[in-house]
Amino acid sequence: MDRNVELIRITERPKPPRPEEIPLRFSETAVQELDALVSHYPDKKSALLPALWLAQREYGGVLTPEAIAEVALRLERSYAEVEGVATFYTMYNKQQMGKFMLEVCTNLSCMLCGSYRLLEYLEEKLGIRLGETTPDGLFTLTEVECLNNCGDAPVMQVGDVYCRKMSVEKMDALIDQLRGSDEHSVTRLADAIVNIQLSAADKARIASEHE
Amino acid sequence: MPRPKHAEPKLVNIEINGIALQVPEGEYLVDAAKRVEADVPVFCYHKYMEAVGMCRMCLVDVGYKQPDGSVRKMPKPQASCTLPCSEGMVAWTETEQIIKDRKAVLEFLLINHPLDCPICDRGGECPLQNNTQFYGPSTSRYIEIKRHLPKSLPLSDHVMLDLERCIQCGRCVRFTEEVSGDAQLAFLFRGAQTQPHTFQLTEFNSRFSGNVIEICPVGALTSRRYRFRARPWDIVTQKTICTGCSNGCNIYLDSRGGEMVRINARENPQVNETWTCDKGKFQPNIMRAPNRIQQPMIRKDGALQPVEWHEAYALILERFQDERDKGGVNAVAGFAGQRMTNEDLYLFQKLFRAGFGSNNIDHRLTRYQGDLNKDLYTPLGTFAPQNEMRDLEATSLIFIFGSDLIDEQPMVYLRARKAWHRFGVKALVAYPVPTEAEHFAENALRYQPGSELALASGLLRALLGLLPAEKLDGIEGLEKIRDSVASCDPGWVEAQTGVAPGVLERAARMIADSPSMMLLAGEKVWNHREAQTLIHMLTQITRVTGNADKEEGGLNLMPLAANGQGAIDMGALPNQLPGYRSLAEKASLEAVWGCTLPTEPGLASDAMFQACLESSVKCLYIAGANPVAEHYDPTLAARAVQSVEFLVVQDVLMTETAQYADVALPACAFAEREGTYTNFERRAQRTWQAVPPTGEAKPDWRIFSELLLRLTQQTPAFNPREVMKEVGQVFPAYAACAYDHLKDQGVRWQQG
Ligand code: SF4
Ligand code: FES
Ligand code: FES
Repeated sequence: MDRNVELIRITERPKPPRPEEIPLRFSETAVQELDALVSHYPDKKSALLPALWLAQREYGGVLTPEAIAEVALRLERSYAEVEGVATFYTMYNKQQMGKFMLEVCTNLSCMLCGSYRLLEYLEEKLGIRLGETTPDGLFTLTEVECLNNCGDAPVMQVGDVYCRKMSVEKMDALIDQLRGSDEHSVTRLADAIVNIQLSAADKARIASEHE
Repeated sequence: MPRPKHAEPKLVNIEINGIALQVPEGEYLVDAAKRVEADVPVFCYHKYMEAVGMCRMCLVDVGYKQPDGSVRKMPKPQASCTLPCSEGMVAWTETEQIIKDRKAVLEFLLINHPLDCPICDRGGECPLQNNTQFYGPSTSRYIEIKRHLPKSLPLSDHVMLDLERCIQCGRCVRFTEEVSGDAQLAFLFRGAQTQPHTFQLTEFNSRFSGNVIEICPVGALTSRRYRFRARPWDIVTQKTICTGCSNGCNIYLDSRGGEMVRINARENPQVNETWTCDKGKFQPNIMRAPNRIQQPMIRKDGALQPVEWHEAYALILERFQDERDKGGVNAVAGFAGQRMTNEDLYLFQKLFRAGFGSNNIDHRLTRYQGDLNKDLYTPLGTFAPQNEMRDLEATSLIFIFGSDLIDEQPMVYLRARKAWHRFGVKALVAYPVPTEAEHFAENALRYQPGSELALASGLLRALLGLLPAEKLDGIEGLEKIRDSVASCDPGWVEAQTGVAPGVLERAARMIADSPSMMLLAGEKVWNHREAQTLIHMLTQITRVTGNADKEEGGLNLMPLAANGQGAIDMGALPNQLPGYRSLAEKASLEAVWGCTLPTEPGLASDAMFQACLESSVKCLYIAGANPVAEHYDPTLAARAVQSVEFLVVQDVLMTETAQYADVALPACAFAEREGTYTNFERRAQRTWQAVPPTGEAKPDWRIFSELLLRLTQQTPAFNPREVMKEVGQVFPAYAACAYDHLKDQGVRWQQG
């Protein structure tokens, strides 16, 4: 409600950024990867989803307005259109997430196998509520729908890794292990998704250009 | 594929509610139903946008005739807005099932709708309200708390967004994507959270943003200008046209108690389809401008003092006749504004020719002051643009030359974009700086400002090399043309214009390969230093490519102001009589007017202003124009109006020019009077009076007519309708544009 009140109090909107005002942050590799992705489709627009994954990786796991603007600019689409797509899909993060995103499945099978109990345990252990991030920026706790691994319920996803048949003990071990790791699960997932879409030839070419 | 102009549609036999009819194949069922007056309610469907079938309001029962004569019904109702008619289709729009379905759809749409109709601008003209009244349930089963969202979110100076009222039909989003092309609105989030927004809530700064207000089927997008100003049932709606530019968009002007409150688009498939541009839709209320001239005024003791009309008339006639008698017909001159109607312009030149016996009349604010004489006419045989608006969809290449289309001709821009978007028509742009049109153009020639002539010559030379010999065969004077551009090789062109040979070559190839081409020439051509030669060059390009006598191709020099075309047609020119007649052909005009006319050509506007400075022109009459602000050389105009001995300015506002007037006459604004305007495609269109005149203002034609009466003692015209009739006598092409023929959508005059 506060946000609503705030929104209507402003009577003058800022202007949308001009192309030259957008700080471009895609690395050289990312630009090459994007070119490769674009070449898979008849038009640039079609590469929108993979391009957003690339941006999510390049911008440290979050699609900031600048990231969205950069994708729009590179694909020659309007900012609004790209933002619309980015906000449609839940796996594109519009807010900064922790280094590790703990996505607990609470769909039917996992729920029956106690995923809510696990969630509560995590809430208590990390001192945050569902959807929040720990103050040290390490963990974000979210719930997701069926992860398509019901046989191993309860299931939890961290980046591109599935943690199956979770229990309180396994959870403790996992959290400890993650605390010691310097991976970034969110960008790693984004990277994995980008890589799936690149053909072997694309990858080889990009790698060779970086020798 | 460009859309052929005269294609005969294939007809199919269908049946709607038991009535058999024939409709063009592929017409959407929702439109076909209108033919039998079966009302199918819609929300997301819009005639001028692609159908998406998002709202499910338009469900109907459909079946198909089988060879044995029976009808096989589809098991479920179908969305009629996405269903193209085909042979043997049978539809029912009022079955019990459909009535139930409509109720259900509406109940569903209203779940989160705030139902705040009593304080909603749309109330009274709201499709959601209307459809609910006609087809909706009287109550809802939804008793939970409704979704709450921002209710008055300003998206720009013009558009206010109420997110609670939105029913997610997608019309606004689709408009910005499909029609205006800026794609500034998009749906954010998904499911029940879906909401139309700009990127990061930045400003919605499209040039066509006003249209989304009109097409929103609820009160989610409202006009900030019109908000809470009136209710639909206490406004008076008058059809008229916009006089912002030479496109002549058809509009409705809504007023409340004599005050204009808003402008809405009026459908005219030939002109603006159903769109307007923001410049026109949100134009300032000129009727209530603080600096209006309220009554006739005469300069006494250095200041303008109010007088009676007859005093002003007497003074004007005394001075004009006096100076003419002393210094000859060249001592008086008239400058006509392009905001004036055809009737005004016609009577203005008549006043000068028949009344003062002088040909010193002009209307041109541009550098192009050339002789619009016969040999320089465009391929059409006259100076008028060759094509009409819908030719844009039929041609295969649109060549935009020296025009920032979106700014100069917004509706031509929209139509050209549509032609590209829907029918794959190609576009080529030549302009010194990047313009919006480059977004859909396949090729862009960015040249050094002022080098248009070199570019056109270079193109012509390249074309002569590329075009197949058999195409060039019958062209008259081909060798002469070849010689005239022989030295304009790509290297020279690059030096002159900065356009690289490869780019030039590609553009020329594009033109050479196109079966037809519409050349749209704009401001940069009118204001070119050698406009005459440049226009000649463009004419040759049109001729050698064979477009001079094509219906879906041709040369179009687009007028820059509302009635620029009318001013030429009506002969507000120093060397041309109404109807493109040269001064030598004055006999027929003399017969109609019953007087003898001068043979000596008058002064074009530059020469006219120069003569004011040299004091050979003593009396200058400026009607409906503001050269001090709008002339291409404002200092010349300013010095001229300051130094001329006796200056009459007749206008709506106290303009920069009117400041210097010795006599200032108040003219009616466009909505305070009636008349006709000729738009850039030669379509004469009517305006109607929407609000009463301010102060003592009179329509321009009446002022001229009253002056003429005092000069010639002939029966004056009593209304613009009569003036138009006379125009038809002296310029037969305009006979078809008499008021009785114009109707709501105007008539294009045809030569010969
Ligand atoms: S704002 Fe209006 S036009 Fe846009 S989606 Fe909502 S209801 Fe439709
Ligand atoms: S319900 Fe959790 S993986 Fe299917
Ligand atoms: S009008 Fe047919 S689905 Fe919306």
